[in-house]
Amino acid sequence: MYKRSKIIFALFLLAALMFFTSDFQLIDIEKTAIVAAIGIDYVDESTLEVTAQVAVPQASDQTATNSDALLSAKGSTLFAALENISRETGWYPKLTFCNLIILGQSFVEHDFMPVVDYVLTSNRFLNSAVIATCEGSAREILSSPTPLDYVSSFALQKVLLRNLDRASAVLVADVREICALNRSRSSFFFMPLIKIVQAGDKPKWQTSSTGSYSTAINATPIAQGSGSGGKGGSESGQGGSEGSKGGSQSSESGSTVFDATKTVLFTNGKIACEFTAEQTLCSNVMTKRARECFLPIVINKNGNDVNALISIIANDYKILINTDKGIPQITFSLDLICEKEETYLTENVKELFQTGSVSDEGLLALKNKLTDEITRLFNLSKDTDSDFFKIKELLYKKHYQKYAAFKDNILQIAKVKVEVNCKNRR
Amino acid sequence: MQKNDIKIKQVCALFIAFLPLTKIITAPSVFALNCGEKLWQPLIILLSLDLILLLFLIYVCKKNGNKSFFNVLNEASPTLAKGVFFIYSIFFLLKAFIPIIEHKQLIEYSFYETLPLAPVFYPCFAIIFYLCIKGFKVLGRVSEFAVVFTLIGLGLIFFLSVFSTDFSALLPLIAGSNKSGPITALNALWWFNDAIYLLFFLGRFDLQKKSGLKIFASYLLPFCAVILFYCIFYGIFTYVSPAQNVALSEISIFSVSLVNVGRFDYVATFILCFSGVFSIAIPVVCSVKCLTASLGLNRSKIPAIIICLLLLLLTILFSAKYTAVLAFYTKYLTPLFLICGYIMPLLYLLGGKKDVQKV
Repeated sequence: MYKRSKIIFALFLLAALMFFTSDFQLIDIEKTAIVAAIGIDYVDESTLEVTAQVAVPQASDQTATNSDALLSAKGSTLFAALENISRETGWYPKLTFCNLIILGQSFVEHDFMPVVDYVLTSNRFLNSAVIATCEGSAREILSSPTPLDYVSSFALQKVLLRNLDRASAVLVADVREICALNRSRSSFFFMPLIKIVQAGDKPKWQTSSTGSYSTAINATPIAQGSGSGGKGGSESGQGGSEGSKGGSQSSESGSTVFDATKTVLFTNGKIACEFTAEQTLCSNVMTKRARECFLPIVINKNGNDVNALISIIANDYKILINTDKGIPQITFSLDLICEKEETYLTENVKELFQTGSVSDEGLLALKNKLTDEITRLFNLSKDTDSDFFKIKELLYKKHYQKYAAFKDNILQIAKVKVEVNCKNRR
Repeated sequence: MQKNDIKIKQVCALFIAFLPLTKIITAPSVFALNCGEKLWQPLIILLSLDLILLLFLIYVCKKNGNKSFFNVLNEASPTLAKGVFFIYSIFFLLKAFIPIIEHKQLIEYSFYETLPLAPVFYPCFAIIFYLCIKGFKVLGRVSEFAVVFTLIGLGLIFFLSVFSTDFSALLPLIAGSNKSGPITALNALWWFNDAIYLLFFLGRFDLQKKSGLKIFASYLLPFCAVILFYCIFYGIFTYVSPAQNVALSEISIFSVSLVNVGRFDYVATFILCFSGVFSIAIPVVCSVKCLTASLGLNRSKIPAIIICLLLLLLTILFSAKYTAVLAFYTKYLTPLFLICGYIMPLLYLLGGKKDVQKV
């Protein structure tokens, strides 16, 4: 009996081993390319160019600067291109850590939603990966050296994902959100627009005698159809020439940082309009929970304009539709709790004592600014037929009986009312 | 069959630990496909049917003097008893098949980068076979600790997903063009109808004071968790919910904490997979017990071998054709599930005397 139990226990352990491990199909880690981000560019009607930024696992005695690489290949579809990377370099691209997908400018100007739909349904990608577009090509963005991080995609992820719950300067959307919004009754979606901005100062490691990052970036191989992408940055193979060229271009233009404060809106899968940085900020305040959101305003104090920065501690937003009077009325209601972060004004001691308190003039200026901005956003939405505030969706959900009557023209005929209430924290 | 081989608290734990796990893998996407934002409506219909069945069984059981279903039928007609139990054996075999291939999909989809070797899932059948031989007693004991795993796993999944949910996606609650709730409910009976297990537990545990209330509550609470899961699932994925074939591993990945900390939602999926192995064993154990009773055997070994091998064979042949299997179930098996699940339990009314017999 005791012997039988031991056998059963051994069998159970064997079963568990099979069940809870990758049945020994682990891919050799030296051949695994952990893809941190991919960029997709349009080449022609039947060809995409995919650039994958990989973090290649390295032995501990090698320098960290070799641990980044760009791999690039062309294919008729996204996965065909990725498969070409795999075939040409021998690396198996692991996409489960790919948190960022950058779509090149030329790519989003064409019909790109089938590729996003593939990402949504594929088991290889994360549905929570952030999608962004960029000025120029995605490859250029991924190959740009930046003082923010050793790997440009990590720097981009900091810009896009850091404090996802707090930062309101970027309007971020993931794969699931884009696909769902595109299929919604409002049929729109948005994504941040990444721009390369020249940094004033050189990155620390470019001036440092010990750091060699800029050299590593310049030597980063781009395996384009040659199969000689090699490992890491210092070993530049045949296919490295193109990458080196891109690297040196970046180097010539100095170190760069990224700006993602602008937002591109799409309607029915096509570009509809672009939000400025300020519009992005206001739309975030109007549609998402905002914490630590900073809004610059100009306060008129004793006839002088004073620059100030207001911090929004909490927001409560509502969009109400009233269809009772025949013509729909849309009310944007926004309640904000604010705090003064900074003013460019020497204040007397009494006012300094009330740290953080926004003056009445400041609250009024903020209210006017947001009222104007929301009205402008709605007008932009109306003019470009991009239902950014999801009015049609709201009409369906809360006024289903009137949905059929107003679904096609609600943005055009509706009267708009904006109610902004700003309060001090205490 | 033996009396008192499962305790009332084990029956309750069994419902809490295993009831949700077979319903939260692929069923949510099927419900979203058929009902859109009204995916909660068929759930309410199914919950109502199950609660009525549960109340009926508890009431009649008390009236019959806590006789087992087999004893009641055997008293009426031994042939009838064997026939009914044979039909139930097939019913449970079919009921077990979809959760098995769902769990196979869940494991392959969640834990493997590349498609794993086919036999990686098959050791599960060894565990199921062991449980079939040991019967309800071991299943009851397992449920006592599996309940902790299920609660932790589900709790973590809910915690990670609820903050990313837009519950307004479920609007409009009543109005709207989608009226397919009852049809969807009918075509989802193989995932639900777990109250039927109680029919086969009757006579195996002592009915105590407030036993009915305990069973009722332990059935209602996990079912409510299932409804909440479906609402969160739709609130997260909205219009693309039907494209999410494995809801359990997808629902929690949008949490801000995961972006910063890493994919610790895998812990919850692992924990639920552990309980899941036992949850898929329940209908198989019932099938084996019914086949044993219908063949008039004393030991379950041979029926267990037959049923487990049959399920293994079906899994080898059809696990890759999940959509076709589901279409087959929808087209041909709905009446069988309706009759066996909700009409044949009325046969329990045949027993009227308050005496207890052992078979």
